[in-house]
Amino acid sequence: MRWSVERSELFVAVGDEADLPVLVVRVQAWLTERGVSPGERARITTAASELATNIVKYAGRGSMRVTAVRRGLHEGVELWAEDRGPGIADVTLALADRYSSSGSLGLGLPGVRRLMDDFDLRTSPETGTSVKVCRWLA
Amino acid sequence: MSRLAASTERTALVSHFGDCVVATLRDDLDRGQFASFRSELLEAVRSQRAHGVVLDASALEVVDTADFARLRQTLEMVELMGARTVLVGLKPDVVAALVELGADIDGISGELTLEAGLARVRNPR
Repeated sequence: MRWSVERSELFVAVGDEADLPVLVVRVQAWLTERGVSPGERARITTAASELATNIVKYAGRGSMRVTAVRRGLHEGVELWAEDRGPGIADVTLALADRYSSSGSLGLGLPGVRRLMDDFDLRTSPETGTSVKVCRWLA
Repeated sequence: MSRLAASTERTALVSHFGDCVVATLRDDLDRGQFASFRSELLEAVRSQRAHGVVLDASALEVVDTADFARLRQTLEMVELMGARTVLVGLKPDVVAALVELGADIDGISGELTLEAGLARVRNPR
């Protein structure tokens, strides 16, 4: 076992509101180090922030993993938000587009789905919620 | 966060230009810091009897829907106090992400620069 093996993954524990700005900064830095363009950085980090906000709001604690992924010639960035919270009772509703005057209603999931390319949501009261999203870079 | 940290750390910059207040947002404000920024701003509007507020958002790199809702509420509060508001300097990437997220941007005025923002709140179109 060697320590020098490069792991192209960023892990951030999300425990409360104060972790959110830290998460944003770390994700930004991670993407910058990998040469991701400013536009894609803003998009991916915003999605990460949105998912992490959901964790704090609905589950209390959880984690975010950011991974460099590859499919054939395509490179992408995957975000994986996980929590062991109560799960989402009505997935259809959570994925339905709703606009509110405050912009704060709902889970922000439809927005995350638009910002990213691939979207995979798993949720149950027993296991909590896992949202895996991927953005393919040009 | 302790009171001491909150009072010694500058969360934002609120300054005055005649009858206008210019407030500069820092990028990494958490909810508590944003709340103190908001109080400082509203107090400045009251004490200066400001007619306009220019919110400089040019330092913001990432704005999610929760951040945007806080921004929006702050603008609404200022308007309720009787001052006009304008958001200036939002980065193109931030704007693009916000619109794709589906943030409610209705009724928010934006300008590219601080100067244009000041002109807008002084001479609304």
